Amino acid sequence: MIMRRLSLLLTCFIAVLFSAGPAHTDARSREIVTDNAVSRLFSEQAGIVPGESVVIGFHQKLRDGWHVYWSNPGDSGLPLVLKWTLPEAFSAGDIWYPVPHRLPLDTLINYGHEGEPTFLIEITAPANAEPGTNVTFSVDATWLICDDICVPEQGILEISLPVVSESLGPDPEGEFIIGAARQRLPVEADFTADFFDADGVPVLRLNTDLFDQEDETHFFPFVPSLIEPGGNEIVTTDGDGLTIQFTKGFEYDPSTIEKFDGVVTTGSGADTQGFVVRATKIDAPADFVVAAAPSRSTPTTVGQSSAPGLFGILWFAFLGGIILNVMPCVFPVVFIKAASLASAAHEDRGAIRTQGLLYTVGVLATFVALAGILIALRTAGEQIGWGFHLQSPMMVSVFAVVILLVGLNLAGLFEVATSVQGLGSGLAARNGNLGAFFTGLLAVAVAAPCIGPFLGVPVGFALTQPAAIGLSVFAVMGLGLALPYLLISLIPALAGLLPKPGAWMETFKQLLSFAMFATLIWLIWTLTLQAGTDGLVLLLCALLIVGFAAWVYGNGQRAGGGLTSRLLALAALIGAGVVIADIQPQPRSAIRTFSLPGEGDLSELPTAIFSQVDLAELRTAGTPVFVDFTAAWCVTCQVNKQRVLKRADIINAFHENGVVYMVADWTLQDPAITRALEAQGRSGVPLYLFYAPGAENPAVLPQMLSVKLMLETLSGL
Amino acid sequence: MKLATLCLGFVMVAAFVPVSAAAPTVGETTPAFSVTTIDDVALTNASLADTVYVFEWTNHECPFVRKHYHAGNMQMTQEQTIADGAVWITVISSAPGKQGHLNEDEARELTTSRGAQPTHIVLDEDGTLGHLFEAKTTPHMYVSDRTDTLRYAGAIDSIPSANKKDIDKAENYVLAAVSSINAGLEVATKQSQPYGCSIKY
Repeated sequence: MIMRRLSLLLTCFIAVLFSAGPAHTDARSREIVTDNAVSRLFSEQAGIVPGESVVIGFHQKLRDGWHVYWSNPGDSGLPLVLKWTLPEAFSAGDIWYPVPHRLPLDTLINYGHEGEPTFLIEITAPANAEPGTNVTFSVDATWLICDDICVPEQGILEISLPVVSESLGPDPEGEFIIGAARQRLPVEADFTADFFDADGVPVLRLNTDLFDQEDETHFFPFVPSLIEPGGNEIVTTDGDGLTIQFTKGFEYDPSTIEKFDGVVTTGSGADTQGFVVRATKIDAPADFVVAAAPSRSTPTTVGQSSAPGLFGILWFAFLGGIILNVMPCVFPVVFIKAASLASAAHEDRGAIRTQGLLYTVGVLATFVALAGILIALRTAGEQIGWGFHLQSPMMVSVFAVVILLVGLNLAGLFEVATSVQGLGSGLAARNGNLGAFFTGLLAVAVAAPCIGPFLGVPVGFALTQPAAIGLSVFAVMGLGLALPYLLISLIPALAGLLPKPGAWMETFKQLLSFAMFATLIWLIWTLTLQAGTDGLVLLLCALLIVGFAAWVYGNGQRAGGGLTSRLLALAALIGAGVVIADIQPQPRSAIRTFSLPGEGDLSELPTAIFSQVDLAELRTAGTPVFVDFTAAWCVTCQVNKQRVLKRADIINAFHENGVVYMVADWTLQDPAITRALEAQGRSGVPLYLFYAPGAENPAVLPQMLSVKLMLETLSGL
Repeated sequence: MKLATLCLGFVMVAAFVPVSAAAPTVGETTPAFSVTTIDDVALTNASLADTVYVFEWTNHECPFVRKHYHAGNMQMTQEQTIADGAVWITVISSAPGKQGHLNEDEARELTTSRGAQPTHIVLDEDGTLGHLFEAKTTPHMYVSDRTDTLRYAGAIDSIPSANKKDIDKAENYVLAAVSSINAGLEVATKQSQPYGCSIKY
């Protein structure tokens, strides 16, 4: 009796040991810590039922800034490999990957995962598994983990579960981890997809209005080398759906390809949604046109909030163009031209209308030509952005000469009957049409240095789009610039509203010349930063010669005739050109010592020079960083610096909150800074970023800073 | 009119910038390159006329490169292809300050220490040659034949992994391509997905 009870007790004891003992069954494995990841297995269910499956999660915490790869790793990298050792007749399924992300590295694009990815695997028990026993699943996992550099890592993980005749229900921790991972899996698309070949260009068609272009939409094919990961991904929408054009990869053969399957993602960051699409092959629609696109990959804006849509951008561009009319350097040119229309109000309406249209054509042609050059240069691989024409000291000098000449003309040093501003009102007065066209050209030439805050976003957008869309953004901007003059020439009543020309015009013109000279001061200052005092002396000499040329020329006019004075003026201008050609860029030796917040001179900003490496280090160390993308020729940047950044209370806030002020100076061309700008979807300055401690993505501040916003940002509100 | 000339000059100066070269395509002429080796030898398509030549992109700190060098596989491939009359050009495209970047002396020392025997070594720190070939990974291999036609582009072998043990099981695509070319045959695998670390441009 006693023996029986004892043996019963013993049996129970042993049963408890084996069934509940944490060393033997636990719905999770031990943590495996490697250099750059912490990995662990979880089970969704607390036990496994014969003939049924459990889902196991291979969960990884990756080192900050490091990534592992999706099943198709993209341009480089390797996916996770799991080699299972299972009890007899148990089987493990394929890996279910979370929704992939694009991970750009220079021109390469990889597909992978950052943060804490969980890879899911279904393990099925045979029907004859014996309830009451424990089973151990062991996996030999190898993965490649990279930031800039790559490290292969490996670990053996084990998880044990009891075989039970009836489900034990979920394991709470496993259910939480795997439940979250299920949310990150792509879902089967509830819409159909087609693909077709358009002369060697693979095109995917999604028959859904679920996406609009404002969302970032990307396609990740299951098969590597079907498309170039770093190639084009041109997304266009219409009423019924969305079309994506790719650059074909070497495995793409239109004659044999039958499947075009993969994951489509939309949105960014944690909000990314993924859909598994299985596209069926169709014939290319007869009306399909392959979009022209730069051969370079478009920069990816990982983790950036969605940008304004095409129409919003076009509207901004248009407004920005209109605002250019009142910029100090543009206003005099346009105003004088418009005033000349008022004086000619009695003239032939038809002639005036033609002139207005030709002026518009002049503006548009110049804008589109500039944009074309910019896009062509970028296609050729130049790391440049908007404002590139101001990154060359020679171009700045040429602008200075143009501005000086316009200023001297306004001041009355020389007349325009047959010369310099003869491009403008002079030629217009003489034979009209050609003159109107050149006034348009001149308006853009003087506007170019002044393109201001409203145009940063549209220009940035334009440069990341296919050429056709990019050019149309610039064209709309030009239309905005041309609009006031165009309206005046088309609507006689408007011309009537302008003040009547008279003696006051002469005085007003002279007054406006000071706006030109003010612009000149700024250009000269910019050049000094770019080319040093050597460049400054050369430019001032060139300006002196140009001034002399204008004076000689004007004198000749007043003397009535003067081929000699014209020739002398021409010779002087050529001389000025020779002098300008000698101006060399001279990067400032700007390596100031790195000064940490709260240290050194507290009346100065704790300044560091921009570098991705330093930025990454500071962020890893949990130091907040404010990055100021600026340039000497960027007026908005200078305004922000004087009005906000250099205020004593702002400088204090930097020191008090331990924020590093990092300066990315784009005054001269700098590919590293251009790439950093592009990563934010911009192609010009100013751009202000604030990296809060531990935040994955920077906060993007507006282009016009305010003291209140800066104080709030710096104190982390 | 002078002003017009200046304005137009501004627009035109940049208009004559050459457009980028075409991507390399297997079966077509190798992209036109012109590079200088660390021993000051000028290499162009013309200077390699009538020669089978192999480009190897490398980065000695990349685990995939280490896999093939520690196992002696890359050295063996070099030795065998050079014995078959090929010219082997090792290219380092790592930018200054990035992983794998070397100066000329370091590159020579590395070649000795790892027992490599490339015919030439090219330091491509601005990435011109790498971008021209659209090289993506280390290693990334290219084989051209005697008529300057690109015949193979892609991985060194058929098993993408960082594990030395896989080398014996894998098919070496470069050896296969060179021997097919020498035998006057079609190259069986003309292109493969390169595997390895991304090049540190």
